[in-house]
Amino acid sequence: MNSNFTLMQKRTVQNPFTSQYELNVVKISCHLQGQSGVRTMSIRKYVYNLLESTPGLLAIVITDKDGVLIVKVCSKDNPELSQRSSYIAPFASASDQASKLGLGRNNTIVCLYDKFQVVSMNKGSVHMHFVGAADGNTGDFLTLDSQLDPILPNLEELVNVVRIQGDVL
Amino acid sequence: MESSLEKCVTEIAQKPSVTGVICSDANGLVLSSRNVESPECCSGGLTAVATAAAALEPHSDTRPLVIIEGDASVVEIHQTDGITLSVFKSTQQ
Repeated sequence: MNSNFTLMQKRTVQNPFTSQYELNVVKISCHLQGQSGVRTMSIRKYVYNLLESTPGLLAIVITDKDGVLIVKVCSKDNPELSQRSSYIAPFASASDQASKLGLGRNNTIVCLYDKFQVVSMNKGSVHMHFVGAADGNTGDFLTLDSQLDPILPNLEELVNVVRIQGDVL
Repeated sequence: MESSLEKCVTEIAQKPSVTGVICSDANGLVLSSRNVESPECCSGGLTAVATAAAALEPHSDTRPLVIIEGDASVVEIHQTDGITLSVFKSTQQ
């Protein structure tokens, strides 16, 4: 299956306190061409399909390395998880600290809590967070990044474009 | 602590036509493996398959045996007490 991504819409707003440009809304058109022809779906729908097809997965949150939200999808059964972002902000610093343990660069951190688990992945300029049930299949969650690899280059490009615009202005 | 598990997995891997063995826990994480290149890449999926198959008969006392046949190999998956054992076999003589 071939994929062709086109950036359709992006909107940035300037933080009045820091004068930094922050990503506000992103819409990327993902054209997936299979054997039967061309099929177009949005990036959000692509990620949501992945969420629905994975048992025990409650939410997928994709951010840039500073924690600015890019894509967030949540299951219908647990909509309140979309309001909790406390697990996103500390990951960047936790990953940096974990990279200083002498084991190389940190890739993944798995956090198990009483009510749910969070698998966070450091993909350079993009961070991915998978929130699942406490008794969910952690091994399965750890392989989800391979299914998001087709859209990763476009997410990185988008983050870099927004960051360059912010630096220039 | 894991010596008995390692011994059991080694014995299974030495059986004729067995090309690989993966033993994973209820969370899909690898407990032990033999002759598998990247067991962490498939342990989660194997556990998910066993769990999904068990959901077909939720009131059954025994867990089903799942057999996945390919062109050149067969995977037999069984789950007992939260432990999933996957045995890879070659179909070629």
